[in-house]
Amino acid sequence: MHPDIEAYLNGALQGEALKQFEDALARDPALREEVELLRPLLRDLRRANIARRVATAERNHADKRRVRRNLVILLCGLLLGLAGIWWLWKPGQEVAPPSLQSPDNQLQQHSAPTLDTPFQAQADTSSGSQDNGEDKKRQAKNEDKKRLFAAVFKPYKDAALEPGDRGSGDISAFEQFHIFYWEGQYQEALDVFESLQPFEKPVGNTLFIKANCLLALGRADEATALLEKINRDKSSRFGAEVEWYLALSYLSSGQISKTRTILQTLANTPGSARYRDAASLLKELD
Amino acid sequence: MDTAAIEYLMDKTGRVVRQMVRTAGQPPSLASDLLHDGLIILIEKVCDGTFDAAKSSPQTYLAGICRKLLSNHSRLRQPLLTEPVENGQELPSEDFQDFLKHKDRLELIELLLEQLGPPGNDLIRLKYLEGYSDEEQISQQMTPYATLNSLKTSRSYYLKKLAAMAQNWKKEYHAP
Repeated sequence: MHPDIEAYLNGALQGEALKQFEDALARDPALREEVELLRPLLRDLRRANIARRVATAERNHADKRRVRRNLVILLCGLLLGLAGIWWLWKPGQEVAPPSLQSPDNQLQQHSAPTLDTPFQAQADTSSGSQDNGEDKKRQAKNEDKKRLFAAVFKPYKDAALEPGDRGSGDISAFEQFHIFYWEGQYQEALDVFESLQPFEKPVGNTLFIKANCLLALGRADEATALLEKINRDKSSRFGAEVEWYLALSYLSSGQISKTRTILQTLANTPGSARYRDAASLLKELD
Repeated sequence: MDTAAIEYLMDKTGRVVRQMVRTAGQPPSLASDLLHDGLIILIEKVCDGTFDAAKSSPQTYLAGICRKLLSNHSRLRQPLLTEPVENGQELPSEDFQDFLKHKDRLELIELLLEQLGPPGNDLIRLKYLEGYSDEEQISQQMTPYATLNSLKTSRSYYLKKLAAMAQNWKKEYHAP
């Protein structure tokens, strides 16, 4: 094989060498045949070389695209993660979860709780619970006094107050007042009381009955005022009974010290109408 | 043209080629095949000096080649081989058809080189597929040959043998 065929087909022959080879090619049919035999092979080899380089470039390019795509995915994931964190603990939120708080922050919150912190709520709850306890005790005491009052109180009745047989004749308001009282119709008795003659109302005996009606209806304060007046004026026939019912009205309205004072007076007066009752009630109160 | 330059062209032209494949209603995988073949044609043109960079940029020229390859693939009756790529620079019809005609021969060359065996296939690979010059091969002692003449003579012998094998293969299988 001619040593310059390869160089000629690769374009490497120049100048005089190229001219000499072209002259030989024109003269020698065997050389031409050899050149035509190798021409397609060298063309294919050059193309194969280019195809190899392109394949290498394609691999590199694919690797770079893969890296770039992974970076984009990573960046998107990072952004999504940051957005998620921001959404979970956005600036407007009052308290961060303990796991994310620095120890300093936790210390600050512990040492100086604000009005809205659980500590204040706890304090409020504890003071509230104390108040509730006292209220409960107070309520329990009131309940005891009411039970005691209910057990002891009986509207005053004696034979003189019992309505007699009046036949079919007209009944005066004064009589009706006493009838309602005797029959336990205390509100009706109070209603009729308002229609009494002006001179009948301020009478001590009548006011005593009215005070009993008020006590029976649970209107202790009004009853107390009436009984204090009767007791002060000594204007009724009921004597120690007025003091007894005044003590009961104090008991009903929660004025225990006044109740004790009156009861002790009665208990210290042997032979008085309510001597035993007063002593017994004092024991109950103690 | 080194691989970095080829990657640059792929990066710049890849999107355009994918777009034209999508527009033509062809499968997306066709884009990479078109780009591969287009790059080979372009590099051949650059290597043999027939590409004129003053008339069009390499990426524009590559896009034009890929468009023609796509038209051929789609069997569209377009004036493929006379269509100017851009700025009047045309792709010669004979080069385009030659590439398509001999495209399958690249795989054949690899097969025949395997059949040729050492040391002939090594000599040919180093020169034509790896791209080492004769001087590099001697200085780096890539082959058992110590002089340029002995290297060239030996390689010429094996090239002729390989060409004969290719001709026999063509006769046997009626390949182009």
